[in-house]
This record gives sequence, structure tokens and C-alpha cells, in this order.
Amino acid sequence: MPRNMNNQRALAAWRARACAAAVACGAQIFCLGAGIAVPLGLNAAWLCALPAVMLAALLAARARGVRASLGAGRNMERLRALLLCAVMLFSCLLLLAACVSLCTQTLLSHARVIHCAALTLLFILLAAIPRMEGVCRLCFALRLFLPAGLLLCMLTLLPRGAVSGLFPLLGTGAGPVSLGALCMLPAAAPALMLLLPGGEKDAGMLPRPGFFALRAGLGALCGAGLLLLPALFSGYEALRTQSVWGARLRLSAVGGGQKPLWHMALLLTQFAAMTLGACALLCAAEEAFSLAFPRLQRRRSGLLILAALLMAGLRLFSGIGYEAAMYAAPLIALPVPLLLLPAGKRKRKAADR
Amino acid sequence: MNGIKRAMAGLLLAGALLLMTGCGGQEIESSLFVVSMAVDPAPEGALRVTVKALSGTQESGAAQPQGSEATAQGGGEAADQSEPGYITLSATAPSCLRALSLLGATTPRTLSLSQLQEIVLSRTLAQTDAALSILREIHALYRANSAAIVVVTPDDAGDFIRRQRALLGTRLSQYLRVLFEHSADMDVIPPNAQLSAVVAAMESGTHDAAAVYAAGSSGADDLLLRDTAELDRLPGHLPRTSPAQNEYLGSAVFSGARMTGTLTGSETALLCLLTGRARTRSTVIGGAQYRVNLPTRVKLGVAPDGALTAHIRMSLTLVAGQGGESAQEIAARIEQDAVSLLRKLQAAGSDAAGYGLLAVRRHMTIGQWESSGWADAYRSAPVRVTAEVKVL
Repeated sequence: MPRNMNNQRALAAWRARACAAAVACGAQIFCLGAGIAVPLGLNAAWLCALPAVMLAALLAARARGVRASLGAGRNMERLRALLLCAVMLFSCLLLLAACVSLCTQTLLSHARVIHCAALTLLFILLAAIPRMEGVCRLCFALRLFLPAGLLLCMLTLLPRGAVSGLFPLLGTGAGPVSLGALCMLPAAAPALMLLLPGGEKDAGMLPRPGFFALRAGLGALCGAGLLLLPALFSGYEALRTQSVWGARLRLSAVGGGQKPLWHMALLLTQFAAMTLGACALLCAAEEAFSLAFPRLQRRRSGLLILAALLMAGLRLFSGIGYEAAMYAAPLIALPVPLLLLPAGKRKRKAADR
Repeated sequence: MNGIKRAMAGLLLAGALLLMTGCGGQEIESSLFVVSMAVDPAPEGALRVTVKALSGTQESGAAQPQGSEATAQGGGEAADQSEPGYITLSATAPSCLRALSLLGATTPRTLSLSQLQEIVLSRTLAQTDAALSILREIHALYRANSAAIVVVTPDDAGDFIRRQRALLGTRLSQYLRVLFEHSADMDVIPPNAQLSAVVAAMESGTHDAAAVYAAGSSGADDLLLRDTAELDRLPGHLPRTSPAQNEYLGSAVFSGARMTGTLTGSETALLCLLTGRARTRSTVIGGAQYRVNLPTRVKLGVAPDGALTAHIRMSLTLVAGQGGESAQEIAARIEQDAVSLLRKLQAAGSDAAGYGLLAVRRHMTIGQWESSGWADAYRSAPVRVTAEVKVL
């Protein structure tokens, strides 16, 4: 196959992968923001998310620079692959917990929580069967539809004078907003999926760091933009009284009843983004797992093991409350230095050679 | 490999299908769909909740005397079925939530507020802090239809909904929906009287709520008030007779969680104009009918000296009659009426026009805004209204 065609195919594959990272980052920022940033910053939750947007872009750019052989034989590399798997899996669990919380508030308000959890996990598993390539292509196909759909629903549903809900601009003040921003940083973790070396189709020209940074950053920015909606729909007084994570995720609760179809469209678009993001993270976790344990790659045993772990996690959270997933989010940040730093040193050594 | 993939996919699909069956789990006939709800104060600090719901039959039951009132500790239920297709139930308990629970427990149906069209509060109750907690409980805990209209009445709220009939058509819910839509088109009821909007405004520190004001007709069709415009009145005192005994006209304005005043129909129309939500296309001024050319531009503001300002720009086209007033005279009259309205709202401590939404923009944090003393500043602020009217 001519080299040019190889490069084009590689570029398309990496573009799709970057879109998957963008969707996952946006969904993670929104879910974690609704859980942590909204109670801290109230109507200034979107400000808390901005540092996470920049971090997502930075991580995406840095991850690209790593063409290291994750899991290639050496114990250290296998450990790194395993840590990356753990980060992706926990991020996936967070998104699943958010999906279940929102589901029990809206679509399946009379169903048992564990049934909602099992249903959501099943859908994600089904979507993960075609591996990372399938979900990346889907994310690429929906890369314009998702933000456009959300924007259209937003413009249709927002009440007159909704802009007043953004004021006061700093919300609870610089202190709580800064704390919220710090707590939101782990939401950029999905960008680390770009650390993965990719499949055969990805072999070829590797795009520049800005290529990944732009896409991941835009996806994360969409997630931060969604955090404007609680303030626009409700105002800070109503946000103060919302103590349930699922109720905060449910953007259009106030003012509902009018235009029910648009409310449903907004809800379904939210769900689509969240489940796609969770699926992309699950596929990334499976790839990292396969790098750590190559012998389990053939029969998709990794996917089954990870699905079992996710189900166990959801079962645990159904007992202690899904908000526990949200409060445990900062743990995602712990392995990040180990994932990035040694790769930087190896890159310099390769460059020196 | 393909076989394993197919087997996995098949298993997963089967699992998903099994989990999706019966996700709703409720038959329509197992629900009691409430169309109207009324809340009244009862002795010893209790609340009496009356609901009018679909009975599911077209038989007209004989009117029964109301059941015994419950003690303040709860209990008791009265049923009245005098309108075909509907049943009226009531229960008394220390709180609205407990009264609704009691109704749900003592009827063989699950109480569903998803089709609720109106919530009627008695005026006595609306003037207390209990109004907000009642509406909040209904909205949050019972997932009531958040587009249900909040109505305040000086009458007994339970009697108000008992005498409500679907005069045109057979469905009370559709009748009420069309009635509120029509009244909103005439600008005689406030534009944001939906349950969710009223609860949000009551909780808000930047603007106040306005609910619909309604009362039973006195039936005195020979009552004339020569110096007053027909709609510049409160309901219950309109010179009319009709099978529809309930009159919806004007607004009940709130200051925070409490009702503090009323606006007549004409004042409500002016409030709709000031907030940019006027829907009516025609108006009668000085014996002539004018068509209002949209959009009427209204700009509210808070001046640096703290004055509440409003600038109205509208154009009218003479449609019928002979215009006796010039454009300047019409503008002067609008200015005078708007100033009177704003002063009335200030006296009631109600920021139904939403000046607080503009004042909040000057503060950077919630703490600064809440300590700025806006409520006191609003009450004592001077009012300046200018109007430009063009008659085409």
C-alpha cells in the first residue's frame, strides 16, 4: 500500500481516536462538575471547569509525544499499562455512576437502581464489542452532532432572561471556586487514552501534539459549557438546595413541562454523550489491559474481567451511594505522574540517539 | 472467533432485553390522575388538601355531604362526586405532604400529579411562609406537572375547585389549559405563574413571584363602577353572570415566600408590558381600538443613583373608532400608570418586574449581593418611567 495512503489512514484513525478522547473528556468534566463544582461554586461551576479544560488539552498534547512501548515486555512498562488501565476503568466507573444517577432521576425513576446500573453496563459492553476502533468511528461521526444537538436544545429551552442566572459572576467567591477548580482537575484524565499506541491502522504518520490538544480541548470545553446550563436554568438559589447528584445532572428540571419533546431530546443527547464516553474509556482500559497481559488479548478476556470489575464497583456504590464515586475522583490523579514522566525521559534518550 | 463474538453479543442483547421489560410497571388504571388541587388552612395549624381527579367513569354520583373533618393529628377523607367523570377528595393533616400521603394511602390508586393543571392556595395560606414549603413539596416530592398554574383565591380553595366545571368540551384538564392560555393571551394573568417558575421566584433573591388571582363570581351583573375600566378590577366583582362561577383575573404578588398584594387585570397587563411578555395585540384607549405593533421595546434599568427606570417604546395603529388622544397624551398616561404600578409593587415589597436581576450584575460574589441590602433599597428607590408612543 502506498505510503501516502498509509499516512492518510493513520491520520483518520488518530483523528477518530482524538474525537473519542474529546467526548470522554467533555462527559467527564460535565459529570464531575455537576457533582463537585456546582455545590462549591453554584452558578460559577463553569469557571471551576476551565483549568480542567486546559489540563485536558495539555495531557492530550503530552500523551502524543509518547510513542513508548507500553507493556512491551519490561515489568515497569507493564505496570504503567496496568496503571493506565486502572485510571481508564475508574473514569469509566465514574461516568457509569453518573449515568445511573441521572437515569434514576429521569427515564427509569421507578426502577431499581441495580437494574439501571446493569442496563447501562450492558449497553456499553455491546458498544465495546467492535473494540476501540468502532467507538472511535462513532465518536468521529457524532463529533458535530452532539455539540450541535445540545446547543439547539439549549437555545430552544432556555427561558427569557436566563442570562441573569450567571450573576454574580464569581458565584460563592474566589476561594470556593478555586477549590472547585482543584477538585475538577481529575476530570481531564480521559485524555490519557491517547497514551495508548493504537492499532495497526494507526501505524504511520503521527499527527502533531496540537492535533490532539485541539480536539481534546474542544471536547472538554463543550463539557465546561454544559456546566453553564444549571445556572442559566435555575439560578444560584435553586442550585443551593439541590443536594442530589442526579438532580444536578438533570439540567432542565426547572421550567420543565413546557416543550417536553425538547426536554427529552436534551436528556437523550446527554445520555448519548455520557455512554459514548464511558464506552470509549472501557475500550481504552481493555487495550491497556491487553498490553499488560498480552496472553489474555485473544479471547477478549480482558473485556469480561473489566466488565465484572465495573459491575462490582456499581454494586458497591449502589450500597454506599453513587456520590461516593464522585468524592473518590481525585484518586485518578495519583498515577498520572508515573504515566507521563518516565515516557518523557525515554523520548529524550531516543532523541539523543 | 466470529462465533464467540456473536455468542457474546447475543448474550448481551438478551440480557439488555430482559432488563428492559416493564420498566414503567404501572397501569393507567392504577393511577389517580389529579387535575386540580387546593390547599386550605385547617384548625390547629393543620392543612386541608382537596384534589379533583379523574374517576374513570362517566356516571354522575349523587353529591354526598362532606366527610368529617380530621383532627389536627391527621386522618379523615371526604369524597364528593357530583360531576360526571371526576371525583373530589380531601384530607386534613399537619402538613401538605402528610395529607397527600393520606390521600394516596386511602384511595386504591397511586396518586399521580403528572396531569395537574392548577394548584389553588387560599389567600390566608399564601400570606404565610407555609406557601413556599407546600409548593416545594408538591413540585419536588410528588413530581407534579411543573407547568401547573398556581392560583391564589380569597375564597375557600376547596370550594373553588369543587365548583370548577368543564363548560366547553368534556375534559376539565383541556378546559383549564385553554382558559389559562386564553387569559395569558389577554395579559390578564401574570406570565410566569407556572409552578416551577413560582417556586424558583419565591426562592430567588433577585426577583419575586406572581401567581394568578381568582375568586368566585358574586353574580351581580348590575354592578357598575363608572370610573373604573372593566379589567381594572379584582375577580369576584365583575358585572357578569355565567355558568363559569370562577373568575381568573389579576395577580397575587409575593415578596419572598409570602403574598403581599394584588394587582388588577389592567395592572397585570401593564406588568406584562414592562417585563416584555405582553402578548395582547390590541388595546382600547379613549374609545378607540388600536393594534399594538410588535415588538414593543421595553428597557428596564437601575440608575447609578438607585432609581428604578423604565423606557417603553411602542407603536400603535388605529383600527376602529376615533382616536381622541394624541400620541403624547397616550404616552403620558402609560407613564403615569407604570409609575403607579411600580410604586404599588414597591409598597408591597414585591420585585415582580425583576429589577433585582439587573442589580445583581453589579456584584461579583453571592456574599456581596446578599449583604447589599437590595430589599430595602428597592422599597425606597425613586421611580422614573419614560414612554414613546407613535400612532400610525
